[in-house]
Amino acid sequence: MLALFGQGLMQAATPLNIMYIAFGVIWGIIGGAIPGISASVAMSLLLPLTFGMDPAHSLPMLAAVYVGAEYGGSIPAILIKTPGTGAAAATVLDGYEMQRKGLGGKALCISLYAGVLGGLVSVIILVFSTLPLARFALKFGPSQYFWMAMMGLSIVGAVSGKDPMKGIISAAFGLFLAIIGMDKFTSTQRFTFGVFRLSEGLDLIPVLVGLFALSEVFRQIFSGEIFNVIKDRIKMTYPSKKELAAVTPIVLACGAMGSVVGALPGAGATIASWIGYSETKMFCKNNETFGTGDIRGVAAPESANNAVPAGGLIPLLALGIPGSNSTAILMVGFSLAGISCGPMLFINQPQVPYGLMASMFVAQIVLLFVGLMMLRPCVYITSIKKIYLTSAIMLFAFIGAFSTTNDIYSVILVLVFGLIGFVMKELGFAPAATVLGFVLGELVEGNLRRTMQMSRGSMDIFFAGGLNKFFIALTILGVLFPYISKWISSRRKAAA
Amino acid sequence: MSSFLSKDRLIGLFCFAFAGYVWYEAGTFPTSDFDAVGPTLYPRFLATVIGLAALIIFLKAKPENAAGASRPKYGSFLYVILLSAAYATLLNPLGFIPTTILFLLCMVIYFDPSEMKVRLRNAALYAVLFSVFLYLFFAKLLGVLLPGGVLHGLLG
Repeated sequence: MLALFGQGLMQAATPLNIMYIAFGVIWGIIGGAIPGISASVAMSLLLPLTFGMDPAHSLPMLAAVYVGAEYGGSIPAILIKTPGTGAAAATVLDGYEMQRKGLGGKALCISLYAGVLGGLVSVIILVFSTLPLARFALKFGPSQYFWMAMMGLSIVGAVSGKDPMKGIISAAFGLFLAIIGMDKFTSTQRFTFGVFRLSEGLDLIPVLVGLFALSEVFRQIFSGEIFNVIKDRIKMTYPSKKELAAVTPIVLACGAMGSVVGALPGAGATIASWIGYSETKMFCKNNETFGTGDIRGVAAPESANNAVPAGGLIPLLALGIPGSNSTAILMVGFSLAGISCGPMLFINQPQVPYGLMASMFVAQIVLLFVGLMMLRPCVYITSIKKIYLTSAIMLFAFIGAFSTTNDIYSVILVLVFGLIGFVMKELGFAPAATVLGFVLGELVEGNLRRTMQMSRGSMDIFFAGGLNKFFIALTILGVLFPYISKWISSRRKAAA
Repeated sequence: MSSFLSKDRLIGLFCFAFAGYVWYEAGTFPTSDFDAVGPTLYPRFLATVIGLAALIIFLKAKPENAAGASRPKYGSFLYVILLSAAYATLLNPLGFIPTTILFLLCMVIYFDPSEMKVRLRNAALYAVLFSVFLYLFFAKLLGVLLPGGVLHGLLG
């Protein structure tokens, strides 16, 4: 385990790899710093460029985008009270108050320090926890994989829409999109509507880029956000060694917590950062200063949300199940490189997962240097007129899709899915759950049908065995979770 | 809109109709003797999930609150959709650089809140420089085959 990780570090630390990782981190920071462009959008825009690339470069680069974006989101949160990503929403509370006091630069440095240290903690947890989980997953058969995918989808669906049922429909719609085309078992054409091009199924990249990037652009135009202009002058200030030492225990604890949250399907960086903030506030002495520009209020959520990318790799690498939209895109990156995630990866190509873990470690170090260098440019990016960024994002989406097939059909698909994603957002559905459903579609149907062929059409096999029952219970719990938490909070309010 | 047919009720109805379509369409797929499951069962399973969730949305729907704070920009939205469609249509015949320049000009002139003189200068500069940068980045650096169009001879 450690030997493979060491080999991975040697490979990740080569100048060429560091260059790819640095590019990914820079891209991620810029993406995260632009409000509305989350880690998944930044990753989806870069995904077409990885087509045909060596996976030793493309996968670390994509993972580095994820790492960079989680930090990048805190920049506009601190400077202009507009979180660049949902995960940076908790950072606004104290970060923007520090900026108002003229300590914006200090808040950005604390955010960077906490993010890097929290990320390193999570990589260490990733290295030690993934292999045991993968070994355990070798016991899984097709029925267990079916239920595990259903569990992940039900949890993500239930927590990501405005209404749990809309989230479930979003995930099921993603699974439906994966059906379109020729059935791999019987060669039957399904839901192709007589369109010849649909018989080969929908391409992943146009669907991803449309649902993530273009839908967000359409939303900003429709809501009038595109006309927003920011005119703030930012002063740079830096934290003292004493201040950095004071927040270190908080950073380490929140980093460990963020790793666990990142490994849970559907939880993600936003939930991790809020848990980090609220738990820190609860356990710290003199917590009355939280919300007034306390550095601990910046360090806690930033450490927690930067620990999520490595945490999210635990189920992806060990089980082949992505728990978030960003890890789903990373899984597509694996597919484009011809690599299947899951426990067999540790047997057939152990250098790949450990190489990626090592790259995540290097990405954190690179983030520290790049983050310090990019403080001023990022401050500038957040104040550019939105139309310039929006039109650039649209072009990246169109060209990215076009480059995968050299065909206008892909550009039209991006446009169609951009509109579908926009309508879904407007009506309270969750495009992220749709993407996850689309990515997992083949795994779900393939395992369902393989299981039923083993049992000659009987459904009993799905309900046999302790593991299946465990996953079924978690699936039901996942669907009911939003209702249970709503009921608990209403009871608490009534009691207060 | 009547109080009974709220937005969520309409969404529920639409999703239920979609589930019905998937269920019906899946029934038309031919079966195979070599496959114990067939291509129909899984789509129908999804249709059931969507249908049940749609039914819950329909039954749980509450009357709507007043409209949100910001007014939607229907005109801007439609403009961008048409512009994107035009971009996809003209990309092959006109070529990447001219189409991208036109697209960026139309976007910046429409959305930039600066006064017209500044707006035109910014739009022209941005459109030309960014289009050339994109072409060099994608076509020359990454080897993507972008359409040459009217500049085909010039770009080689």
